[in-house]
Amino acid sequence: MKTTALPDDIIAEKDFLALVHRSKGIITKICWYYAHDAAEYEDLRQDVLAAMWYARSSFRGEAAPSSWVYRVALNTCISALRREKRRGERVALENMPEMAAEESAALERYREMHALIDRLRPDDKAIILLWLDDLPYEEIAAITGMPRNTLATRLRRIKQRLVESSRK
Amino acid sequence: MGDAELESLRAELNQIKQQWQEANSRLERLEAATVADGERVSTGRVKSAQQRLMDMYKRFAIISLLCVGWMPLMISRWQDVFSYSSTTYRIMVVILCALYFLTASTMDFCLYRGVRAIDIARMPISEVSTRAIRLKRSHHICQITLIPLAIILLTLMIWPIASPAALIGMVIGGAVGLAIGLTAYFRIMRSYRTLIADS
Repeated sequence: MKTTALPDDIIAEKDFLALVHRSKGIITKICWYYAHDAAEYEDLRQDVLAAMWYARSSFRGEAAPSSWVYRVALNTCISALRREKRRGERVALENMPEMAAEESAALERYREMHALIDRLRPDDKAIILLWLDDLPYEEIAAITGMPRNTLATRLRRIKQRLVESSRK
Repeated sequence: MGDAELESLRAELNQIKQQWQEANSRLERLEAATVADGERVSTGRVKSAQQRLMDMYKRFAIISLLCVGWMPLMISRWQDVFSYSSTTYRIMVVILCALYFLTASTMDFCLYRGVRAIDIARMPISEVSTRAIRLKRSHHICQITLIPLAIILLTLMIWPIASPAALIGMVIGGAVGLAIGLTAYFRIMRSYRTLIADS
């Protein structure tokens, strides 16, 4: 009931903000690699955070908070749910104001890395992002819901595809 | 795959991983905005995309349910506009109208429940992907079922009406309805992102 839930909500809000602070790198990175322009990146980031906010009650008692964040962020980016495109010119991710200070060579590297990962299917992209982040196989299997052996086979194929794309 | 090729693959993957880490360290510049967005979201006023989709289906289900009662009432009351020659024909149109909106409402309600059942915090990625693909297919099936039914129903409603003014009014109404329906359809489809194409 609402009247008794108030103290919990206050605690949850603090927990939530602390969690966002701890996981800002994961959220930023995942949204960045699933977005195709600056507006989409901002929409995805807001969607992931809103999804985390509304699902925060399920976070309590999680052994690995980062696994929970990875799952919510990847599920949000994969499964759904883009807002309508904003009108006007599309701003490339590497041209966002925050990146303005970067030298052109660094911006080119960003573009290449993003393009390389973007060639993968959304669920393959999730697997490779988790692998690139050095998550153990058991954790990747738990987040993706795949048996370990299936995951190993799939990951091998994705890695091969990634290397083939990088050679082109 | 030979040893040398395996070794080369490993080296290239290591290089990709190194580039990835380097790129991520630079993405730190965007993290302040993530934290600021988190604070804004924690006011509880920002809806998640899943909730927006649920709201849309719920809205459609309620409107269709209201039309189950409203459309037959309108056809029965406005006999000068819906001037059918026989009572049997009028009853048939009324029943078909009610059935159509009941079908539409049920379909939207099922889609609403389908979206609501997705638990992005507990379900693994593979399950969420599968459910989202299934929902998108269901949405297409609903559209494929409802659009021809709507055309048949509109034809049955308009065809016997002799008054040119009423005919023009209904054709315009139908066209506007179709345009609104198609706009909503494309908006929902965009909301599902690129899952079907990619799977």
